[in-house]
Amino acid sequence: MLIMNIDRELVEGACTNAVKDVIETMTGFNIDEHYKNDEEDHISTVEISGMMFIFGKRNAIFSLSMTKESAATIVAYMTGIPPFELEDEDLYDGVAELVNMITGRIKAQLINTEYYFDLTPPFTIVGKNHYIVHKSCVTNIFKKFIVENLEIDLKVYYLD
Amino acid sequence: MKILSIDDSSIVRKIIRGAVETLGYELLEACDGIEGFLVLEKEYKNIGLILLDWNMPGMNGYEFLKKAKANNEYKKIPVMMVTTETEEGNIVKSIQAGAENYMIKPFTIEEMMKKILECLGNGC
Ligand SMILES: [Mg+2]
Repeated sequence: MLIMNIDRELVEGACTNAVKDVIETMTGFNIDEHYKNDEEDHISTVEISGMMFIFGKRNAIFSLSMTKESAATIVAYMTGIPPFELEDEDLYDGVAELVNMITGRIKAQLINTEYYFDLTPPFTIVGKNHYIVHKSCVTNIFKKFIVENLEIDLKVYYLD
Repeated sequence: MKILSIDDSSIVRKIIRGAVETLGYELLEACDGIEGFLVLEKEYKNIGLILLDWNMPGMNGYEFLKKAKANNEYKKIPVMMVTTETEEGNIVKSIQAGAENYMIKPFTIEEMMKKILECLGNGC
């Protein structure tokens, strides 16, 4: 399969804006993009990954991964419910909804470009210390964000 | 008076519950359009506003809206779309189908409370 290049500046910019917009609006926290070397970034292990297939001219898989602690902090501030009162299902649904909102914001910025896409229902992968690995030749975007000393990983893998 | 939130995300319904209860109203919940109609059937006389998500499995918000606005009893209840859908075409489509107001996710609880009051104050 021929893997086409992507306009990195455009798509990465849309991802960063969307994550900042959604997290800052929903939680009131400031969020910063974190720069580390790629090797180190790609091996971070997480406990909850919110996922979405995005379909358009360019199909892709979007994921937002974090530890349970990060999810609990973010969902607590989103809802106003203290972290200890949140059930696991709240965290899974919360991360999936973050994916829904972030991809919605990304989509809005990519209108009239070849990267515009349709949203599909988000879902969640759960498990201690999992990580998502795609083949290295696939065009991908990887970004790490820091919110309240907690890390969030964003990945977009283009399938064509 | 009661407000009905139809959204497949339980977290969004919890956020909306916070806003609705702070304003002193009661929240009814449904996770998709089909469940939304079950709640409407029983409670439509007490419901003053419907907050409606667009993207839901089962019956989505747009299908629900068209069906609700075609019903003589339900069409009087104002509907505010609460959705990540920002596409102009979809916003126009939902207003043409009878939605009185539109709110794009993400939103703050304060923004949600303001919009709810707006909707209740002047029928959106
Ligand atoms: Mg939804």
